[in-house]
Amino acid sequence: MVMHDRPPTTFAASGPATEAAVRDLLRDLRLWLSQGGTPEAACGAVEIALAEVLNNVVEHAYATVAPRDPASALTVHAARANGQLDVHVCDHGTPLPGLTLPEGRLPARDVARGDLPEGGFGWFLIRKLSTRLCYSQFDGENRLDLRFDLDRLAK
Amino acid sequence: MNLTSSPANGATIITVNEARIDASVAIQFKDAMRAHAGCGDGDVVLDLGQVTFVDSSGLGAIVGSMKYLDTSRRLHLAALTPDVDKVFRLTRMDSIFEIHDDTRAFLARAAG
Repeated sequence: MVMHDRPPTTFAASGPATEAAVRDLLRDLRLWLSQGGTPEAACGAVEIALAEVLNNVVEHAYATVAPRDPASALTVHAARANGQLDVHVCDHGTPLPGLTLPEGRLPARDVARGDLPEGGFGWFLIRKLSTRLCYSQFDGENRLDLRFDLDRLAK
Repeated sequence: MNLTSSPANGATIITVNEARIDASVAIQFKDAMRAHAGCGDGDVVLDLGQVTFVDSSGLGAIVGSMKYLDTSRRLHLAALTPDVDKVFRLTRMDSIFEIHDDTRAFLARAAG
């Protein structure tokens, strides 16, 4: 499922649209980052953001659409250079509503205990941890490009 | 979802014996929490010392577990590892729980 390029400044993996596959993919990506000398705090920040991106694909993009190639329903390409990490995540599921990225505002916490938010954190986390975010849709493919500043995230 | 629980000073300590609380286990986690917190009347301390990763689904499941408790019972969190702590801090959900360095810190406070 996972191919590691040599030299390992790039990462590529694909998998089915399942939460279990997301887990495996995140583990492999983190291992690659860590082995490349990325500080643990930055590895963690990237894993938190990408967990949200990939779970969104599984839970929303493929909620009502079956992948055309189930074994590679989602693909992740990543490249690390000069303290930055660029990640491209692609899928063939339903496009984002309005073809735009959600704002990702933090849900309200000053509410009664029974009304506290149990979701709605995903895009907030993605926006908070990435330094650049770009969504495009072409020929049935959704693509999200993310950039991470690993030096900033290591602090 | 492997949780274990034990009574301590009128509270219930629930230990998560898993490395991740994520989208793939969020529902099982909530069900297990419900079973372990039971219908007691003391506070609940969730020991997250073995948990290295929580995503927003896991965070939501922890919040959901608190909402299930009777309003007189508080849910405390203990032993947050670095990435788990980061998720709570970034989403500011750290402000709705009492967070302790470890379960011993909670018990010391409960006894004092």
